[in-house]
This record gives sequence, structure tokens and C-alpha cells, in this order.
Amino acid sequence: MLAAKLIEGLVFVLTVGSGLVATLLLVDLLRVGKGRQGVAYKGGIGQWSWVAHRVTGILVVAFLFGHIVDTFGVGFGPELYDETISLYQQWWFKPFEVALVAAVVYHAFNGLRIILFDFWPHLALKQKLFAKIQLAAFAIAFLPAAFFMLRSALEESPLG
Amino acid sequence: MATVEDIYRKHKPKAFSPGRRPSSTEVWWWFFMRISGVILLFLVLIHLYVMHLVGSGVERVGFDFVAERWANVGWRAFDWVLLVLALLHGVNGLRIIIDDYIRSPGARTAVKGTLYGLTAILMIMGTTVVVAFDAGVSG
Repeated sequence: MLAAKLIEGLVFVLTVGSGLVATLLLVDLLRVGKGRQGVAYKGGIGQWSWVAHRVTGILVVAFLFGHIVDTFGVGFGPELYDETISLYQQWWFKPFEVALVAAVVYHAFNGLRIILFDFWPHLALKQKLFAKIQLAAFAIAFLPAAFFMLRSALEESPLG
Repeated sequence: MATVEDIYRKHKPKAFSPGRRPSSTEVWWWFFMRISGVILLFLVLIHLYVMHLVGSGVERVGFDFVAERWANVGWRAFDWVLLVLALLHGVNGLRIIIDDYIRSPGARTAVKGTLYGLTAILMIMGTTVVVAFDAGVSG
């Protein structure tokens, strides 16, 4: 169906486009390390957390735009909707799905860290420690989820 | 390389003077980002868990799945709150990023205008389908 292909195309364009924007941001931010001026703070793990927050935010909001459009399709009946979301059910789409989950979980935990510093500024004196705690929390929440998601996809892939 | 402190000492931007009060709209958006962020943490993680991990994950999602889920008005309310908070949180984030990277006033207005128009359309699309979806009519 044409409409389904168009929506799938939109999701694809948004995914690739946001990836490109995120890469451009990263390139811009990498200049920080070379001592040139950019949108920058002081470097180190705090700076990289900020970069990751921005990049994951862009990826998630881009997918959100596409996801609202594909969900809108459910109002047009099963034929359109089931064909549209079959994109997400391909085994090769699983890595993108896992990347989305990683971006969301990272952004969520990093956001909590930012809120902590905003309301209790003295905690920011130990920002490096908090960044490490946050990475550990991210790993604990994300890795099991990724394992279960990838396991089912692997069974369906030609490799499984 | 000039450090942030050097730049501050040289220019003494008014933004940092003790008497200056921040724009109240920006303060409210700052506050909204924190509040919506905390609420979204729970809503999004529940959404991801229900849609991507339980059972066979995304493979089981389809028209019938949505129809069954949205037969419950509680899930409709959940999805609508998730839609509104996530869209506003995301677009406000994009607005801040646009301010950081697009310096020319004309381009800034054009990009932001497009973004806000798109946001309005997406908000209407999402709200319509969550509120008005009827499995009997569209199925």
C-alpha cells in the first residue's frame, strides 16, 4: 500500500536525518578537544554527558515524530497499520530498536542527574562520581533489556 | 585559549549580574523540562517495557493489539499524556538546540516556525487518533 510505504519512508528519513544531525553535532563538539571555540563547557566526562544528552535527545525526538505519524495510521484500519509497522518487526530493524531504547534510557538517567544538580547544586562538586554512577545504572537497566530484545531477533535472522 | 573565567572578566555579561532576573517564560520552560522529565521517566520506561519486552515484544503489536489496548480508557489516557509531555519536552529541547547553533535571526525564525507548525500538526494527529479511534469503524 502506498500510504504505508510513505509512512515507512518518513520514519526512515527521520531516522537517517536525525542520525546525520547528531553526527554533525558530534563533529562540531569534537573541536572542543582541539582547543577551538564551539558550544562548549570545560571538557571531561561532564562535557561528554552533555553531548550524549543532546545527541540522544535528537534521536529520540526524531523517532517520536515518525512514531506519531505511524500511530495515526491505526485510525485507517488494519491493512494500512499492520503493513506500516511491519517495518519495526523485521529482524534487521532490531538493532535500531535497541539503539532507541539505549538512547531513551541514557537520556532518562542523565536527565535525573541534571535535575539532582539543579536542585542540590553542592552535589555538582562530585559530578564525575555521579556521571560514573549514572553510567553504571544505565548499564544495569539497558544491558538485560538489549539481551532479551536481541535474542528473539537473532532466532529469526538468517544467523539464528 | 581564553577560559570561561577570562571571557567573563572581560565582558561581564549582564546575564550574570546579580540584579538581573531571568525571563519568566524561560524559567517556566526550565521547570517544565524537569517536571515533565521526571514524569516521562516513568511513562516512557513503562511504555518501552510493555511494548518492547513483554511477550514477543514489537512482533505482537498490530491493529488488533492496539484495538484491545485502547478498549481500556486508562491506556488511552496514559498514551495521550505520554504524547503531550514527550512532544512538548522534545520540541522545547530542539528549540534550545536551534538557539545554540542557528545564529542568523531570519533562519532561526524560519526553522522555529517550521518546527512549531509541525508540532501543532503532530499534536492534532496524535490526539485525534488516541481520542477518536474506534476499532469497529476503522477495522
